[in-house]
Amino acid sequence: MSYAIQTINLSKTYKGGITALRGVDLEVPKGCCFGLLGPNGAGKSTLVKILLSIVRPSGGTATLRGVDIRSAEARRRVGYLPEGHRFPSYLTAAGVCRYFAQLAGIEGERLAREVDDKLALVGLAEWKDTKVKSFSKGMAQRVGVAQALIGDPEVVFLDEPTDGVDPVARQGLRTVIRRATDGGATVFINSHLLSEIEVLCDEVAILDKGAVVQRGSVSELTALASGNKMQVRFRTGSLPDELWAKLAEHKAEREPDGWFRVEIEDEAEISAIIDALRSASVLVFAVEPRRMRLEDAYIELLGADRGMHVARGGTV
Amino acid sequence: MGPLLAIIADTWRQSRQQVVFLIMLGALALTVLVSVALTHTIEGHEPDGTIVEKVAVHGIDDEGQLLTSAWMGLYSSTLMRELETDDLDPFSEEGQRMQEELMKIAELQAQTSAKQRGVEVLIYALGFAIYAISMLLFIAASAGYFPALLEAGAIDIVLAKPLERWRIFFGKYLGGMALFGAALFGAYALLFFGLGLRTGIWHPAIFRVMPLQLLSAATLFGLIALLGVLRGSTALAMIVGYIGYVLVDKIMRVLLFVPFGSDRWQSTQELLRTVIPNFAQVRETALLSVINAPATDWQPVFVMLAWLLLSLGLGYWVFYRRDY
Repeated sequence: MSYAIQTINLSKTYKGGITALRGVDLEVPKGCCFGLLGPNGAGKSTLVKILLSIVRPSGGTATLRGVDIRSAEARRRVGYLPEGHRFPSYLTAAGVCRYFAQLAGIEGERLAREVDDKLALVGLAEWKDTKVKSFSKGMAQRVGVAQALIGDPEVVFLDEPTDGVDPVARQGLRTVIRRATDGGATVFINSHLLSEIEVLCDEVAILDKGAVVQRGSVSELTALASGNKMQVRFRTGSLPDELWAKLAEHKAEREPDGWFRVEIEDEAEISAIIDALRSASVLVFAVEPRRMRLEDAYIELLGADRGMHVARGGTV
Repeated sequence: MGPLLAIIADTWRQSRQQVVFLIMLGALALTVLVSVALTHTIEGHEPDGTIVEKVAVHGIDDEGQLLTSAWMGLYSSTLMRELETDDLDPFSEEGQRMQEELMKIAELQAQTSAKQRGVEVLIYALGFAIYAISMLLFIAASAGYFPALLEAGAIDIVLAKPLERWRIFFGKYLGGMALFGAALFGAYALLFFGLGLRTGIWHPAIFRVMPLQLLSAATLFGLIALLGVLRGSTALAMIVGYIGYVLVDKIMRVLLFVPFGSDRWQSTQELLRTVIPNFAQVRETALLSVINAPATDWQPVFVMLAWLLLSLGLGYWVFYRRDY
């Protein structure tokens, strides 16, 4: 099987002895949306930069579209949106797209058409002649996505693509990314927004301390993290203290708006909890299963202790 | 438009943003236009009473005397540059040869019209101004080219394109040089046509200044590019550029007069003068080539060429090896 991206024992040690990658083996199938997760300093950006020859590997090999990354040809029909990009302030939105497209060898009528199409795709058609220096962070990010998609690339790397983008535009960008994968492109996303990865990506890998620690589909990872446990949410009237103490054996946690959630191993336990609530004359308004989110799985799999206090159900 | 042209075009846009390049264009155009406007021809008397046409400059040399008489001095200076000693014995073989050369210059002077000589001296003087203005402002304009290209967040997308790194490095370098070359050609072309229209002398030797000036600029830009790639600092690249262009020659001259005495120090001085690029010497050679082209002093030219290759090679190597 040929992969859009493949790395074999890829490693990187920077000057000064900092090891960013330790023998990363990764295969990304063609046409999938792939998410790379990991804490700060895990080596996510280094991995992408090595694949794009921005950083040189210390060891191992990698291919892009089946071509060795040491060849410039590997980067043909590849789009890239780096995190914290800085476009030349003297360029307009169309100028940014045109310049980077020309560097990729796109010329003539196709160039003009692609620039117009991609800026329209990210909702910036009316802003194409405005200099990017006057853009908000979210708008600049959309220009970045547009330039990454010019030329209908086979592989697109997006590093924090929705960083600074408002919710409505974020939804629009998700549609754009889905459309790219529907068109056959492989999209590789680095993002801290796990909810984003969850709704977009077919496959996910978790990188930690320079090594891939888990990989699979979102459902595989959540199943792996949850094991045979499941969570159920209840919305009830006020709970007496003695009942709350009893629910502690189910790792009960309060949530806003009269909700609390418990962890169970068998669905039959739901009836037992309802019985306990009813016998304490507590009104039960709603009961619902709570699917484990990728964020919970991520914390579960990586461990909560990362030098910061991380509470279950949210970061602090 | 290919990727290389795209980089060159981007360098032009960057230059417009930086303003210094536009100031350079304006200063060059103003210098040439004002000088040409002040230049005119007059009729003057030779010592033997004949009436000849001369070139004069309003308010500076109204009689055209200075321009005409300076020609002999400038031409002779091209011979003096070839002398290896200040203490020439007129009866020695070299002394005799020098006297013969001076006789030839006197004959040449007699054969060259006063107007032609005046124009050549004017070209020398204006060439000096164009040279100085363009080089000094080019250092300021070009110092930011590489640091801006390599800025974090800006270089990533460029490197991710299907371009070898040598194309990016040399594309940026050629972009800077192409703009400078175009500006320089424009200035000398303006001077050529301006003086031609004002004096009737169409002197293509004006363009002889360009190759050596471009070599000087290329070497300076090579050093600036190397520093830009090494340190990513516009200010540092600019400072070193100015030191290299303005101060090195002055320091060398001062060192020559310092009476250290020891042979070893004398040899060190000689060595330094031989291996360090001397922009003032090359400038002088370039400007005098308008009057006497064969008198080119090749030693500093070769040294400059070596530094150009060295700085470009090293700059590219650093760019090629570095992670961004």
